[in-house]
Amino acid sequence: MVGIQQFDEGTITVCGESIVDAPLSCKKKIAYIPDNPDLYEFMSGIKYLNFVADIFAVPRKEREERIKKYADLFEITGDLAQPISAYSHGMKQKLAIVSAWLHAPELIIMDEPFVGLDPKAAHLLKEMMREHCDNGGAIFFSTHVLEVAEKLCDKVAIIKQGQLIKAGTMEEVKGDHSLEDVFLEMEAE
Amino acid sequence: MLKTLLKKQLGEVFKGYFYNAKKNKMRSKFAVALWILFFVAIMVGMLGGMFGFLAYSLCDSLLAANVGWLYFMIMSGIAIVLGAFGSVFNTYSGLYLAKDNDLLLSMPVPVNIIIASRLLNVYLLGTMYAATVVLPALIVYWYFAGITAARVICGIALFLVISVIVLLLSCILGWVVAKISLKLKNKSIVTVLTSLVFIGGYYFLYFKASDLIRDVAINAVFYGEKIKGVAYGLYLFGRIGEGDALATLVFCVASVVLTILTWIVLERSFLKIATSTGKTTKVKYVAKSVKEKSIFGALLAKELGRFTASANYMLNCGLGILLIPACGVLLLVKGKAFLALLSNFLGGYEDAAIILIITGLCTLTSMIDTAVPAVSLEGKSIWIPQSMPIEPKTVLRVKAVMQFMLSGLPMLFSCVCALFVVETSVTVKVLMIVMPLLYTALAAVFNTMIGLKMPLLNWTNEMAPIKQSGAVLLAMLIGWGSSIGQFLLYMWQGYKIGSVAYLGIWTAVIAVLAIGIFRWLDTKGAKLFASL
Repeated sequence: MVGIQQFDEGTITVCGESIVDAPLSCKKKIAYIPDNPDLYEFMSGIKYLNFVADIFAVPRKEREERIKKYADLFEITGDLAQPISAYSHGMKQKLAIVSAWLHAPELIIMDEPFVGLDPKAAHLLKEMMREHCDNGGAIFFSTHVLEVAEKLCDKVAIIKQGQLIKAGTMEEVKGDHSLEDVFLEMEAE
Repeated sequence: MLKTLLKKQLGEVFKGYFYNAKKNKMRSKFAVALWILFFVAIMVGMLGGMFGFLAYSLCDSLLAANVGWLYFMIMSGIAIVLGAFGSVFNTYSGLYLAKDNDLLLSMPVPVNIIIASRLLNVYLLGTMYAATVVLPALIVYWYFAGITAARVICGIALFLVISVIVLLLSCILGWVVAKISLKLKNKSIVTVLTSLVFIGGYYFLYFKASDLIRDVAINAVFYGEKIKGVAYGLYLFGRIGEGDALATLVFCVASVVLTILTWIVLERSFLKIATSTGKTTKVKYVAKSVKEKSIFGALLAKELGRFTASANYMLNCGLGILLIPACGVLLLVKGKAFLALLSNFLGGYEDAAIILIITGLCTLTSMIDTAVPAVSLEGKSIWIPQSMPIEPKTVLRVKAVMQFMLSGLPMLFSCVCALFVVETSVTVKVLMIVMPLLYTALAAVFNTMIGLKMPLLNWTNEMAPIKQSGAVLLAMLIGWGSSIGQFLLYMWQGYKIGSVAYLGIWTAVIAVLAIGIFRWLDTKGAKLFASL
């Protein structure tokens, strides 16, 4: 979906465009945060953010505003001049989140985004995710923390051993039960 | 407990012999045996043989001058330098900045046992290096002077005393390196410069050594008397090897006392050293306006940042950046004399010296191979260029362009230097610029292709893709082979068609190859990169 794996079969469209036919156009609308934020350790935090902004052609004024806004929110502004190699896992994750929001993507894809975040940053990220969706954007993320999924997601899909076994709106999937109960029930089957 | 810790320490040092970092798995018993055999061959065969030869050339004349102690003083000095410098970086990382200090300190292991295991490790490594000098020196001495019980016992004592001196020096130098390292700001640049100074110093000493040894051998009595008068301790030290019981006793006692003192000092300061993180000054971020870059510019800046951030990368893949212009300056200074010398050998071949100069410069270009490990160095961060809106071909082009930038400018400088030296037609002079520059372009795209075809993304130590990969070796061999081949081909058949035609054909061939590989990178190479 983000270009780091090759297609076996099927199609994926982002805002109506096929990721196979127009990969660059699709990628411009996407931001991706992997489960393990392996960033360029030789760069400083600010250099990495400017690198991402350059790639996505974010104008100077907007990038400066967004870097200030999100780095302040995650309280990493003071560390932006430090090399990424000196960052903790949580700080790298915060930097990856700031870089993802930097170009105002329409779709954000995240793999276990809350791993390594402190409670305050995790809470902040949840708010940002909600705000992004309320503003018309979309977020596609994976998690093993079912409470988070139940609380945050509008739609949910459960995958077991690589197979999609249930998908739909949160109400359709869980009904009157908790998402955890539904999941455990499926696991037992 | 000590044995377990020591086993762990040595396991770390010789990890490469048991563990294949490239394949991320343990080596087979056969491979381990081969690696150990290779190590023994290097230590005994190469180092031991080299110092054995040196001892053989020195011993006889110094014994004849009745200054056997001077022989032992010289050989011991070499052993101490080799032992201390050979193990200093291991001491630095193993004694002062060991990553498992926290783990060991949290376990019920007495501090003095941790210290003892670290010291024993440093001692064994230093002794191993020193032994490659001392043991051949002793054997050669016994061969010339004859074996007596006193000489054997004192010889063994000399070996032990040297090993203790090496240990003490390693501890002190390791401490200095640790202290400097904690305070350095631009570690990579400083490491590169220091390494270059060491390499330069090494070659300077190497070329001067034969003169120095000859001088000492001829004036042995004069130097002997002078040293004896100024530094009696050194004389006494050399006497150990000759079987002087009193000198042996004095230095043995001093060694034991110094070892105990070192252990006590380290035991008392270990906790402070081991738990110290160093006073790293945090760089305060000040928001400032930055210039927007194009995708190409951003990627190029990133590649340059990667290159300058790693001393290993700069030293192993960029040494030619300095060597090529140095060669140009050398041509300006000594070029005329060099050409005159060459005309004696190559007089029958028109412009052969020019072809040889071009060959030399092209061969040096092979020492700039930043593009070979560039794909592999993306490592676990490869998801970044793959998931961003960047065409894969742009990523590859940038890697090739960076190598071309790093090698093209020095090459242009050296070619211009060469123009001032040679006397030939304007056409040949133009080709002397165009052909080597095209060659650097070919090397850049070819190295990118090799690096892409043989990627190594799951490395844990960057030295694996930078120095130990098959791609680097292959690129270097092909680079050297092709550049040397162009000279040999000229000497074999090429001179018959004349230098203009020969250089013209090579220029055309190189241009076609460079364009072909560039096209491959843009098409198949781009697909390959996307699939990594």
